[in-house]
Amino acid sequence: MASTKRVLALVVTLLSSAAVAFASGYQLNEHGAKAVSMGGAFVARADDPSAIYFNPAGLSFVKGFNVMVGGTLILPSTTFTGPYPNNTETKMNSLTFFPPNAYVTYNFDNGFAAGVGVFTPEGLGTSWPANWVGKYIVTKINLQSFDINPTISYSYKDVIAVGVGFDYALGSVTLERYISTPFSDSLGNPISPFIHMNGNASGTGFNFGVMLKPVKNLSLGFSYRSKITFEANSGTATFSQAGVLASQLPGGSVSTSLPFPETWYAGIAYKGDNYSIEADYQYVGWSAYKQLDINFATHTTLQQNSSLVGNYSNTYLLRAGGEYMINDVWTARAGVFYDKNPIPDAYDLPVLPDADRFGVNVGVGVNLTQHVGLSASYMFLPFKQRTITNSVYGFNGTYNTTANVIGLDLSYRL
Amino acid sequence: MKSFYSRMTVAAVISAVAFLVISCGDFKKTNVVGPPSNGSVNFSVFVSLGNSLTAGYQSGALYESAQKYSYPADIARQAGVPDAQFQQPLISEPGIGGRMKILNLAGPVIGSDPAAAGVPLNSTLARPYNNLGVPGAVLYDLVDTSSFAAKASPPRSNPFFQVVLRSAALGNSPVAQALALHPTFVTVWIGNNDVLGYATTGGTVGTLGPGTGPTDPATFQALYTNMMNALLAGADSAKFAIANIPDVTAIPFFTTVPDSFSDPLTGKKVGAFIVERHRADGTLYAGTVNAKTDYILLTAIDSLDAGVGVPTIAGGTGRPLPDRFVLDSLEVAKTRAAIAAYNSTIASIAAAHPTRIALVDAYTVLNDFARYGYVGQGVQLSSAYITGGFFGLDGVHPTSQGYAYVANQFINAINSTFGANVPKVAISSVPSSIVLGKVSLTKRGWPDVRYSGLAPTLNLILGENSSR
Repeated sequence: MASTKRVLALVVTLLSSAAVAFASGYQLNEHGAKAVSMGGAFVARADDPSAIYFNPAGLSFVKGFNVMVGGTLILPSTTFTGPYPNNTETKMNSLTFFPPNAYVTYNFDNGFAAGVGVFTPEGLGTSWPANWVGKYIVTKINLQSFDINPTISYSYKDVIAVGVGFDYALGSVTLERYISTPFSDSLGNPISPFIHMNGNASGTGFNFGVMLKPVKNLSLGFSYRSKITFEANSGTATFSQAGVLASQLPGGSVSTSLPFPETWYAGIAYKGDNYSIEADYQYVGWSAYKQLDINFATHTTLQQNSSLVGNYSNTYLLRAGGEYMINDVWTARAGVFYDKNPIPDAYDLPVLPDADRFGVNVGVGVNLTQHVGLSASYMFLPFKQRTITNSVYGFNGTYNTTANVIGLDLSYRL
Repeated sequence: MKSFYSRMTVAAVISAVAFLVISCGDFKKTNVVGPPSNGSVNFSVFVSLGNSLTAGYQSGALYESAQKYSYPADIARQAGVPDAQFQQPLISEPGIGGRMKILNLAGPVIGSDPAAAGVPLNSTLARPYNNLGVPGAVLYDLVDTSSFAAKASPPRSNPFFQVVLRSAALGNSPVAQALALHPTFVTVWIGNNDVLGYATTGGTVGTLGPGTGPTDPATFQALYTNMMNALLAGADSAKFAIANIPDVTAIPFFTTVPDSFSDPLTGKKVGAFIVERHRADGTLYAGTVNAKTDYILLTAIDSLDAGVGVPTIAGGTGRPLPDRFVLDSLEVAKTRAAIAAYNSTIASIAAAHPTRIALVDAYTVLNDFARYGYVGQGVQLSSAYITGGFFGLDGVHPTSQGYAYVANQFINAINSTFGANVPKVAISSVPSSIVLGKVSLTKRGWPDVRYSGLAPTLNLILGENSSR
C-alpha cells in the first residue's frame, strides 16, 4: 500500500487545476473512463476499481490487487447572448479542466474487499471577460474539491454484495466580481470596487451500495452517496479599485457553506458472453441548495452580508450503455445519458450557466499486458439552448454550451 | 449469433443517438431575438430637440463625460450612427453650470465646481449640432427667433443658447436649425421646464415670472401643435419620437426632505415641520406639513439647518418654512393639472400621425420607476437621492445610467411604432457618474446640500428670478 501515498500526492498536485460544472449543478460524474464511455451506466456492474465511486458493493467482484489512475480532460465552450433583447454575444473565457481520479483496491478472496478512492465529486469553474456585461454578477468562480473515500465490501456466494465507505471532502472556493455603485471619481471614472473572495473548505459524508445477481447474466445495483456540507469558515475577502470607498470596504474574514447534494443510483445490467448492457437512473437531491450566503466578519455601511439565491430542484439523469469484447485485447464501449438541470429559469445566472444536456459517449478498453490495462473515453456533450426571460437578477438572455470530454485511465492488476 | 446481436445493439444505439442530437432543435444554436434593425427609421440625419434632459445636463452642469451619455447619444450609438454623424456641443470638464460633487459622504456634504470652469470643445462645426437640447429651454424657446446672446444676459442669464445654437446664420431658432439639417429622424422632449419652474420654486415663480403659474395649457397646445406641424411639414419624410412630461413629484428634488425633524444622533422622529401652506382662497397660513400631500423641496435645507420650519420642541425657531420651499397640496394639484393638459396635447399630436410619430410615455415610465426601481445585470437603480443612482446631485436630472434607462424607453417606442429592433443599452456598461470626494457614512434626516449648489440649476430653469 506504499504506492497509495504516492498516488495521493500526485492527485493533490493535479487538483490545483481540477474544477468545472460538469453534470448539472456543480456535480461531476466523470470518475473512470470505462464507466464514462458507457454513458455512466455502471452501478449494476461496477467491475473495475472505480466501483468505490459508483457502487462500493462492486468491489467484491474486482479480484486481486488493483491500482487505477487517470483523469478526465474537459473542454467546455459557453456563450451568452444578451442581455435580452439585445443580440450581443459574449464568449466565456476558454477554460480547460482536468479532474483526476485514483483508486487502490484489494480483494481478500473470502468475500471481503477493501479500497480507497480519490476523486473530484463537485467542481465548478466559470470565467468571463473582466469588462463584460455581467461583471456586476460574476467575472470568475472556481469551486475545487476532492474526496478521499476509504471503502469496504462483502459479498455472499457472489449473489449479493454490500459495500460502505466514508467520505472526507476538501477543497476551495473562489469568487470574483465587480460591485456597482452610483459614484465616480472627479475625472468621471466610475468607482466599481472589485471583490475577490476565497477560502478553503471541508466536509464529511458516507456512501453505501448493494449489488444483486439473482439469476445468471442479470445484475441489479443500487448505490447512495450522502449529502456533504462543504463549510468554508476561514475565507478572505479582498477589495480593490475601491478608490475613496476603500475605508468602507475593509474586506477581511468571510464564511460560507455549500451543500454537495445526496445522490443515489439504481441500475439493471445484462451480461452476455462477450458483451454487457446496462440502464441506470440517477437521482440528485439538489433541493439542498437554497442559496449561497456570504457572511462578513466585519460589517460597515457598504460591506454587508450577501446571498446568491439558487432555489434548486431535485433532479435526475437517465443513462444507458454497453460494451462489446472484440477479442482478448480490445473492448468497444458506447453509451448515452440525459441530464436534467436543477436550476429554475429565474435563478439561472452566468455564475453557473446550466441547462438540460445530452451526452454521447464512446470508448475503448485495451489489455496491454496481462497486468496492465488502459481505458479511454470520449464524450460529446451538447446543452439545450436556454433562454431566460424572468431572471430575478435582471439578467435575461440565451446561453449555449457544448463540451468535449476525454477520459483516460491506466490500471495495474496483480 | 450473440456477437452479431451485440454488434447490432451498439450500432443501433450510436445511430439512434446521432439521429436524436441532429434532429433535436433544442440543442442547436438559434437566434431567439431577431437581428438588429432600424425598421422604417432612417437614422442617417438624427436631430434631438429639447431642454437640459436632451442635452445630457447632469448634477448641475453640462460637461463632456455626461454629454457622451445623453439619451440622444445613447440612441444614436444603439442605432449604429457613427460619432461623426451625431455631433454634440461638447464642453470640457467640469463643464458649465457648476458641477455638483459629494465632498464627504458623512452628511453627505455636497459642493460644486466653479460655474464657468469648462469651455466649448466643438464650436467650429460648420453646421448645426445634432443634439440641439438647450438646458433651461421652455417650449417657447424652441421656436423663439430672438437673439441667442441676449438670453445669456439678465433676466434669463442662460449661457446655453449661445453654446448650443451659436449663430442665427445656422438657423434662428432650435427648430430652424433642426430643419436646416434636413433630418431623417427627430426626437422632441420639451415642456418639462414649463411646469418645473413653478414646481421647483414652491409655486412662487412661474414661466412668466414671479407670482405666475405653469405655462397656460391653451398656450402650450397652440405652441406645441404649431411647432410639430412645422417639423412634420419641414422634414416631410422624417420619423419622430416625442416624449411627454413626467410627474415632477417623482424626482428626488421633491421627495428627499422628510416631513419631520429627526434627532441626528438617534435618527428618531421628533416633530413634524412647520410650513407656509395655502388656504383654498389662496392666502397663506403657518401649519404642520401634510406628509401625504405636501413636498418640502431640496432647496429648503439651508433654512432647516438654521432651525426655520423646525418646531421649538426639536430645538428649532418654530417659524414656518417659507412658501418657496414647499409645494403644498394645492400647488401639487395645479402642477399635475398642467402636466395632464400638456400630455393630452402631446398624445393627440402623436395619435394624429401614427406612422410618423412614436410616443414615449415618460409620465408612466417614470412613475413606474419611482415605484419599482430597476434591477438589471447586477445594477440596482431607484429614485432615492444619491444612493438610488438614477438621479444626479441636483435632484432633477438623471445620471448617465438614468439617461440610459430613458434612452431605452425611447428605443422601446421606436421599436414598437416603426417595426424596428434597435438594441437597448446595457445599463451595466454605462459608467456611474455621481462625483464622489471622500467618504464616511452617517445617519441623518437630510443631506447637506446647500442652496448655493442647487441655485445654478434653478436659475437655468427660471433665470435669476428664482434667487432668494
